[in-house]
Amino acid sequence: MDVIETHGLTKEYGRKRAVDELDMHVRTGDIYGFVGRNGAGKSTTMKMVAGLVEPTAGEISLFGKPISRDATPSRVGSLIESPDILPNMSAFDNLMAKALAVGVAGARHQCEELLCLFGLKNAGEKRAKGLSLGMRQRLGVALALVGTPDLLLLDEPFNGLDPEATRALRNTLVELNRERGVTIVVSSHVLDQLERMATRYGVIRSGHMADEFTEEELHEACGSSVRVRTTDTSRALAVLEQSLPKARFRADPDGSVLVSGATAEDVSRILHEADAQVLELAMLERDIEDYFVDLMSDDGEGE
Amino acid sequence: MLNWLKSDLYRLVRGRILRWTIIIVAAMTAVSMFLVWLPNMPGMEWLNAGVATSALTEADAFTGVSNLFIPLDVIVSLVVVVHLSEDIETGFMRGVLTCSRSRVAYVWARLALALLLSAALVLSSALIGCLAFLIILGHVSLPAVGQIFVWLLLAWGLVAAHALLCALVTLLSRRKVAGVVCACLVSGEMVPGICWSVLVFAASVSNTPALAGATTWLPFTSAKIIQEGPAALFCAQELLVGTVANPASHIAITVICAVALYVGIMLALVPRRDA
Repeated sequence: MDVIETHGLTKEYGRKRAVDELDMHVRTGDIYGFVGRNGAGKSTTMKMVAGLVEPTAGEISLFGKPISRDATPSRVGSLIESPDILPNMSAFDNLMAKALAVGVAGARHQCEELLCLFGLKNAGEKRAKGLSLGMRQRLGVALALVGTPDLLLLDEPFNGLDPEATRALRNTLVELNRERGVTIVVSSHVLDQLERMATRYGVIRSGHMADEFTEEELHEACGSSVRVRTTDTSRALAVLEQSLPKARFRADPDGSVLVSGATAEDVSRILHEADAQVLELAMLERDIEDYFVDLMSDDGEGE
Repeated sequence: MLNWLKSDLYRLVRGRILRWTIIIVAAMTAVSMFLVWLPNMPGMEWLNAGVATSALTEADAFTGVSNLFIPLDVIVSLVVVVHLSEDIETGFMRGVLTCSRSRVAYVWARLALALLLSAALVLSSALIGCLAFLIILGHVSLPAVGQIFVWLLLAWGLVAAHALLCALVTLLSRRKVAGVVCACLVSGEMVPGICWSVLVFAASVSNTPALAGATTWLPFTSAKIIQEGPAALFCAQELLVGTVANPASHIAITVICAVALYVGIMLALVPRRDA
């Protein structure tokens, strides 16, 4: 089942179209990496899914049901733009204030549990404005978990965190996903972090969903390729295309041909049999960051 | 709505806003009571000059409380503005709305908060006033119980109406400064005072009875009468233009209309705004 499903989701602010007919699919149990440039429409999309912003057009279904503003309480928690922290209250009081507002049964117990889960037990009575950035970010995620949501929307949760705090937060999110079955949507610029946790990706470009793919599909697309340069590029390309019908080819301006979906041995053998003079033959690993940058860029068409 | 209200009370108590507000109200009330009592102190009789003797002999605990009406009005409005701004600026409202979704419940909870805070602070001020008088004089002289009850009820309504207006301005503008300006200028009766003066002047110059009548229905007129104390609610009040024959019911109607108007606008506009 799709936890989030959007069809033609659109949001306009005046003449500016922040989100443009976006189709998004997040399945149960996914850790969905939502990737896009600044201003691509990630936060607006998340706000619409969270019910905080009214779409101009399109539909959103959560857990298979269309959402409306005054619907029954939802099973969604969010950390969008900044942690929803009341600065003059302690971490525990922040959690309690939200738990009471949401109407959580056994609020005190759940708040204490969340403080432990996020390693904030010792900071429980300290005012939130005195907490470090990492602790505030963790408190933000803890606040998003008040009410035991089944879906967590996290907008740039790793912002400003040091490597240790980033790893701790990432591990907690993975644990929540695996042990409690929480579906998580994470938007982030830190592709390296997303790659370590996401099971599915969505790439948004100028408000439009450029592509959605699984972790496996990403690794397949970024898998090894063979770069070959010969004395006669067009002939080499023709021979390879004929012999390797399932492979993908790209002719680069420097005269080399990039072959994906074939081994270096196959390429070498075919060119040798066709008497093509090989000047260079090399294995290439495609960088995941490059792949995402290609997808995100306005002139990129993706793969 | 009840969940929101529980959370609001928790925040007010744990966040120390309520504690400081009550301390400020208590200090203000005590000072006001002292100033009311001061002319009765031996050697301070000269302060009586120009004041009708009857005014002093009739001075009771509620004279001091009534004098505090406008500052109290401003304080309640400011507390509501600060609380709602915190909802918006910190993203607390956003976080809760993601889970609870109902914006209408949020608006109703804000209305209930304004009513509760107004009631709590008006009542606190009256109680502290009586206590201060008791400490200073050793006894408390009070108006009739019925008069006190009606005065408290109407003062509560008027303070709540102003707090609601400030809440409306804060929620629609999403800016604390707009709410604070509204609290200082409107609840502080500066802008309503200017509007009232302009209307009174226009009514006098144009000799229009309808306009003169309209000025008596402004909340500013109600605030002026409330400041006169409980006894003023039960005798006709001569104003610059026109007369209010039955001040208590007059103020009640004004307050109900103002609250209904603000609540209507709030429910119509606030739930439609993106968070």
